[in-house]
Amino acid sequence: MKDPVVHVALFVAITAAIVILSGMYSEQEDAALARQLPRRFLMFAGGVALLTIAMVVAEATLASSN
Amino acid sequence: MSYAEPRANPNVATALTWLIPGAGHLYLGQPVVALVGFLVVMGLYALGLQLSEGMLFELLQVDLRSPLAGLLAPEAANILGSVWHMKAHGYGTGLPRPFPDTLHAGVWCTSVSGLLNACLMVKANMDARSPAQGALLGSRPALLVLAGWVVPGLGHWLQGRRRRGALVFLLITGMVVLASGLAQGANLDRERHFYYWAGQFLAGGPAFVLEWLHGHALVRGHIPYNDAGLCFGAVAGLLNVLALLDVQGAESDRLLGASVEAAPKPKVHGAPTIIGGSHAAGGGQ
Repeated sequence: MKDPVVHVALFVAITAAIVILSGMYSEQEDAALARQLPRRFLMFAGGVALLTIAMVVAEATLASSN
Repeated sequence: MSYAEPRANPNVATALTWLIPGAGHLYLGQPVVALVGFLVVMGLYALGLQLSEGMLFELLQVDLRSPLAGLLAPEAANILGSVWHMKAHGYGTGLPRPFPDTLHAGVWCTSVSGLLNACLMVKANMDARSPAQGALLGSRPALLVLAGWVVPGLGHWLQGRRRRGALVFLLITGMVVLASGLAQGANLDRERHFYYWAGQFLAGGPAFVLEWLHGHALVRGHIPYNDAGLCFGAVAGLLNVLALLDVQGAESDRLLGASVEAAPKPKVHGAPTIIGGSHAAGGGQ
């Protein structure tokens, strides 16, 4: 991967926006939202990690062009 | 929370407004609001058509064109305008011709027409949900949604949720600015990225200001993070829709809850029981 640090920084930035703003939509109270944020971050990052693993495995096996 | 009986079906009022601006308010028995809404929304669309010479859909690459391709544009929030546009101009004659100098002003007018009709839909929905005996409640939620589009977070701010409003502003505006930096402004051209622009349009004021400042400069080389910029801009717009739904939902709950509390409580006259009160009063348990 080219520029992994930049990619990770961009991922963190967009993750923060997605998790916080979607949390606002589902939680009206600011205090409750703040309590939920760490769990929401972990869920999002874990989901993306699983998806990445699935894509890499598929790329190396089923979708391999070699 | 249970609310008072609505004065009309909110889904019908919303759908009618989507199809024909103002039709929902005609259904609600508000002909003046219907007429003003129709004139403003369709007048802006007509102005946009005039300024862009109807060339909006000619911005789409040939392989993306189809009868329903326009449904992913902001103009789709105004079905009558979109159908009129497709019938009158469609994808052009097929022969190349220069874009007018006022193209960008024109496509902003048609897009904002769709956005204004979405606000009119919010008003129609809330007016229909207003208690049959009481004031219409739709204007404030619609105005707050419009404010939250013009300046992300302003709707929250005006609701008194200032910390949340400031956070929305920082996140949405920051993402649009970052997107424009990553894509070196290429994300700000509707003729270059028709659908990504549509997503970014939903971020409202910041996208407009950046597009105006950038001035549609030519791309003169490879842009390493162009894709990331396009993604950030479109996601910023879509996340602003979540913020606007939060504004609209919170305001609706507040107004409908207040209207229930303000409604006169029916006096209950029932036979006294041995523990006090009445049978009728306890009937709702």
